[in-house]
Amino acid sequence: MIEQISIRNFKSLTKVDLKLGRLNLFIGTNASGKSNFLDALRVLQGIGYGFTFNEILDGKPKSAASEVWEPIRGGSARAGFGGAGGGENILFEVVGRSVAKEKPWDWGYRISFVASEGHLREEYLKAGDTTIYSSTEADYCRTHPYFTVRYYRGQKGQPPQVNFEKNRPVLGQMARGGNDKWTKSHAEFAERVADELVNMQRIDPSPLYLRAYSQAHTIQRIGERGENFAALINTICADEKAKSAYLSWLKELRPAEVDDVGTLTGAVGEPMFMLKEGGREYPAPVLSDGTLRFAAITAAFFQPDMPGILTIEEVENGIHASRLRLLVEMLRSRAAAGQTQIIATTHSPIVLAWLKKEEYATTFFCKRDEATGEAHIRPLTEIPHFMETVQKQPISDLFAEGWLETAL
Amino acid sequence: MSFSVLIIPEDPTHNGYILKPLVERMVRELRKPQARVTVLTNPKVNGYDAARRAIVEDLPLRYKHLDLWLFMPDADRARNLAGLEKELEAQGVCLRCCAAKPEVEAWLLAGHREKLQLDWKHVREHASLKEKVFAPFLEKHGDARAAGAGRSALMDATLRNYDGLLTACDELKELQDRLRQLPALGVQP
Repeated sequence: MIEQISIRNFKSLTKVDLKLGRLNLFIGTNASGKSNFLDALRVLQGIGYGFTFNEILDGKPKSAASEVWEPIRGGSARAGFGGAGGGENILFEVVGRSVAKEKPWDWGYRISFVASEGHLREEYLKAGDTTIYSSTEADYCRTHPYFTVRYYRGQKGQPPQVNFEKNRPVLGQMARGGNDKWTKSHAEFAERVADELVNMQRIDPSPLYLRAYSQAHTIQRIGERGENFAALINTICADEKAKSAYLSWLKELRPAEVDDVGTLTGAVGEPMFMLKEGGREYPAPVLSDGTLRFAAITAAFFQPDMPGILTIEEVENGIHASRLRLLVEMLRSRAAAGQTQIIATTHSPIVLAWLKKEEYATTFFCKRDEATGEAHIRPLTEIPHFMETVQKQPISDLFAEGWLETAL
Repeated sequence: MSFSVLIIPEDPTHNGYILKPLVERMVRELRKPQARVTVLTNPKVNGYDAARRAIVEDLPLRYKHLDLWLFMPDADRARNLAGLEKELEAQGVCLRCCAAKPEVEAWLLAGHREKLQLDWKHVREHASLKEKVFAPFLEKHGDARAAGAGRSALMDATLRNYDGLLTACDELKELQDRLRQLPALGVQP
């Protein structure tokens, strides 16, 4: 789980410092910086994979070790603030806490790089408050073929300097081991932090994929666009208790209509999503976009292999206004379960209307400064006069009428 | 002829999972199986005072056309519900109130008495039923992954012995009897 994140000079995010919770919503007009924030998380995921900076920003074809990595929107040319690859350093700083293991453990990570060069400028890794390696701007040398960090092996005296490739993060290089240049436990710690960054899943289900037959029969995770949705349904339905819980959400979405959920089988056994209503089977192609999207987003919370962070863009898409209460309830209950941190964007005033006041601290308003192009992101609790005004005016009205834009 | 019911709970998020199937079952008993039962979600009331204020100030304009309103608050704060019914009657609204003793969650628990550590009399008088009795019960017997954390399935089980529910919760029996007196719901000869 990411507890704090700072971003500098990445796309429109020139200066962003946020404390995140388990359920985080990003709101704002179009082009206000919401999607750029999600792109920033994808950069961190690419860092976790150990890709080069060029690969992270410009994409990477499928290899023996990894799937296709789609480029970040705009690629390296638009990654720095103001475009042109950015003359300034792009910086990410993250404070995280792993909750997947029995005993929670804290970590801190900071990285700075220049997109146009594809070179590292600064990086550190901390276990709690203990630094494992660090570097400063002063350590950087443009002409030097390597990137040098100070490695804190826990012994007295000056920490030794260790050289790494400069076109990819040190984190992944340390995780791969170092011929006794650093300890095995530090390599393992770096690997665990890299895994934390990798363990993000982005879903933006497309009805086109949701209506299709799945190639797999069962699966642990759904694809970003909803690939292998029906295979995930097969997996969920194989566990009677999971199926019952999953079905309960679909029944709430369409009361007095949905009796059962499952899959139909194609010519070679490939599955297709199906709902049963009044004894009749309705295959995915005849179901509405909204029903399918809700079914897919809900299914994502029943994946056997849950991600540490789940990002959902425009979470309300296709879902009827009267059912958004249900969506918020689902996001809230799944976030409270503690296994997965949820980060979603929304344009819906009704989604906001169903938030509890204590959730305003992790509901972030994004606004783009028209003069400079910089995006500002603030929790609602830090918008001037918001907390007083929302006592008297519905938050949905404040959002829909543009009050938040006037207040920040 | 269609029959429409509006349920006004203190908390639409969680109480709806208990109240909607309960009222659907009750109107079925009163021979209105096709009744359309809606739980109020807008305006979003939060607590007894907000619900009572909404009933008097906001709802008549929006929902006066519905056949029956049911206000189902927790009994701990409910006061002068008969007066509220009369006040709404003057506005042409058929409102019936039924306060749950001590809280709405007791109606779900009525079907699961054998799983509780307390005898039923103490459940019905408990000062913190929601937090001290219902929450641990739900954690143990519900499903955190399901809608309403499993309230629907548990309420379905309660409603399988509907007569037992009315016996355990006399306020529901009284409500059903009162509804039977309404011309639209009276037993047809």
